[in-house]
Amino acid sequence: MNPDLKEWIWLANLKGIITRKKVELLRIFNSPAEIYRADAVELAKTGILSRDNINAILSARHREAADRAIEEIHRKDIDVVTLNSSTYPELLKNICDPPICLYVKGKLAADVLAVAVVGSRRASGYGLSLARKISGELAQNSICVVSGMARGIDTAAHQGALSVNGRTIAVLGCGLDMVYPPENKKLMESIIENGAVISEYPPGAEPAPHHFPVRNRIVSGMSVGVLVVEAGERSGSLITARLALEQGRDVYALPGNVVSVNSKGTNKLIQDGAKLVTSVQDILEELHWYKHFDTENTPGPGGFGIHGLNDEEREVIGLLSYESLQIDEIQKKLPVEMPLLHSILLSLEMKGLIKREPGGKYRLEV
Amino acid sequence: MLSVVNTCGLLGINGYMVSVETDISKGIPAFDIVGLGDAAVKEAKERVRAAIRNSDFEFPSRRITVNLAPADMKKEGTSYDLPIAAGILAATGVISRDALSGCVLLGELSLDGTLRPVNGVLPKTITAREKGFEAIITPCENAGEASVVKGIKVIPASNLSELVKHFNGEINLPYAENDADLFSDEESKNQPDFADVKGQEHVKRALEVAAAGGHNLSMIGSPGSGKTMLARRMPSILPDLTFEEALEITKIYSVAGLLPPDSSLITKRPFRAPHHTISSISLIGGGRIPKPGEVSLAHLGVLFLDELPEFGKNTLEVLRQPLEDGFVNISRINASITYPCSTTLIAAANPCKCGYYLDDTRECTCTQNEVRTYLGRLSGPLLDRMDIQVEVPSLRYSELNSDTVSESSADIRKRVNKARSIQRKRFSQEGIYCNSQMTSLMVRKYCRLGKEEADLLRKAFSRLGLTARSHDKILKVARTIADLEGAENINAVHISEAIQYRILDRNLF
Repeated sequence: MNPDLKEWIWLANLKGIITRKKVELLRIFNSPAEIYRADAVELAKTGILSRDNINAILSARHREAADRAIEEIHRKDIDVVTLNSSTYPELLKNICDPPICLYVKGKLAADVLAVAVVGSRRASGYGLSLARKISGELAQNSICVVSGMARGIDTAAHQGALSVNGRTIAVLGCGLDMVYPPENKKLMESIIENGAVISEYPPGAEPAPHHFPVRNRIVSGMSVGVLVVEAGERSGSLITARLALEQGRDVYALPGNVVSVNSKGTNKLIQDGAKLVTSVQDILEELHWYKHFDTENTPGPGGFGIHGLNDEEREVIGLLSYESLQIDEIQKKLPVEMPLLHSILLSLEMKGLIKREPGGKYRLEV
Repeated sequence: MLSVVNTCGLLGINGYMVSVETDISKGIPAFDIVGLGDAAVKEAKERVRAAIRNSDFEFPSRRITVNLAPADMKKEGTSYDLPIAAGILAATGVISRDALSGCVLLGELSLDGTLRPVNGVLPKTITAREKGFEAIITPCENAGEASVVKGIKVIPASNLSELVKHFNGEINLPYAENDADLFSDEESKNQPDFADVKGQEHVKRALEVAAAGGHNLSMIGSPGSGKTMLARRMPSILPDLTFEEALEITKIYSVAGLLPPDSSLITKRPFRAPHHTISSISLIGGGRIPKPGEVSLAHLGVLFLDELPEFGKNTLEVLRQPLEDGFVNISRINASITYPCSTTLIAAANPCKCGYYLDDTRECTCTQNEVRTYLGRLSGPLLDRMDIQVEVPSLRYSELNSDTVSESSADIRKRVNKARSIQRKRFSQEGIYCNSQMTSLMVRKYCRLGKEEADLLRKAFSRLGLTARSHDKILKVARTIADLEGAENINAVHISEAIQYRILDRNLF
């Protein structure tokens, strides 16, 4: 165990001073223990601290909170990975404001090759199924999928990676002893088993709204690229994309229907220069710097098992390959009676070729 | 001097005979009415006194006692005015007592002796006929509904003095006859028709299935997608009313005092759409003086609950039992009243609080939690009564403007009638009349599946995540779809369509 752990936690929890300055101080003083022991003159000599900063450090000269935190993490079986630790993700170390301490449940590795898959909480069926598909394929290529375990796309991304027993990391905006959103309790357990759930917030921290944008820098920071699957015009995923650019990471975006509110943000990202991604190859292509991927063997888009369909079923598939349609719209284009159309749609759905979305629309399953 | 006049009281939607006994004796002048009358009955004194005087008869200045027998049943309303007045006039010898026997009187009096309309004349007339009375005297405005009943003379009277002359043989009031064709098509022409609704073909189909099998249906869709418009047209495709059914509906409306003036029989199936602020009492009936509620007023018609999640939780809770049983029972200390309520329930709901959760064109402003709780309110006890659940997507402008002619209600009703007659034949021994009423035992008996169909259903359950409670409902609806086609056995297409009507069970939201 890290002998300085108490001081590390003390530094991480220190209020009134921004993370970037804390990192700077660590560079000057070598260890948090020395920061803890430094007097006002020594602190002032660094030249980066304001008077308020120095007062904040001096007035927080007690470590009871850190004692309690250590006790708690032991009790709750949470690991702490500090900035100098060998398992601290290498990429994350290099951003300008890396978290001083990471609380971890599961296994974290320094050299993890990760891609973040993020998107809107209120996603469409299209977004959800593609997030699941691409994450699964990334995981099959031994790329770790990083996301935020929020509702919608994040959840789908984790599920996709887990479905192929791949590695996935969830970065939370609250303490690790909490499950937020609560319905993801099971998901969190399997993420811990197959990867890690991490957070810079100590156990007991509530999921406050301002935690999430801060959390996003970790999501992008530990990844080589960020795939935005679906984002509205003011989605939080766009913050992640912006942070990724600031950190020098790639930004990928999945294109969507131009009239869909769920894809306004991603389409805008593409307009602004993000890489348009239609399949996992588009991402793997960009990652050959890091690792050689055999791009031949990964499944491409399309290739539906349309063998063994009858004429009407094939016609419906043909119609749906352009856009998702309501049952009335399909009927207008095909001379089929409503009852029969119901059974065609159900049979296609049961074969896993199409999917019924809330709102009565049918679309091709990817 | 004693006189007895016959009249009728109301218990639920049925009448019972009341004899108004009047005794005039010597003593200090007084006027007492006994026999558990309510305030309106007590006030009859003043109306009767004034009406008799103003009709140029003498009001006896003696001790008058009126007893409404049976004296242990509560009497309410103003229809006792006329029998009390007639009783006093008979006791004083103005009217011959013999003339009154074999005759039932009812009506409210105004101070000048004119007769005013009262509620519940139809069920009272039916009771009078059953008890073997020859004639019933009603206010002119009520003659229409009374004359529907055959086998009793309905004599409309406009005022007290005219009636006295009639009883004394000075004039002969004419009988009201009702020869008009009550079920003429004139009425149904004014009904909203499915031909006016553009698009939403799959919802119309679902409504057709619901009408054919008597299934309850719920619709989910954004505001403006036409849920109300579609529901309002549901009565137009329900099977034609029989005379007995029309009589039953009219009885309820007569008791509730909602019969339009000068109308005789209600020949259209009712459509009731109570607002979501309705109390549970006004929904299922009751009150200090029991009145039928909206669910009974929708008897043999359609009860439409728009914005279902906005209804009070308790309000929906009380609806469960009546929907299951087909009647409402209201218990009072001295009587329990039953109102029938076999109705088709159509519920509509937005997918979320702001309504645009599933809309392509407008952004929904609800949080994920709000969406969840809103739709959560849809599930639960009432959902168990919904055999068919459909989504109503918002229409695109091009559809509103299209020239395609929609099918008229009359054409759809033909198919519905056919399917209903198949069901009536099938269930002639079972005591039910449509598929939705099947018990699970009957489902096993009448909804047998072949191997292929059973396979399909089993696969659908595992692949689509249907819940167990859908099972019987899918079979019932599939049975109706097969009946609409005139098919003997349920085939895969029928099952498929029925499965498509269970969206709320599938956790799509």
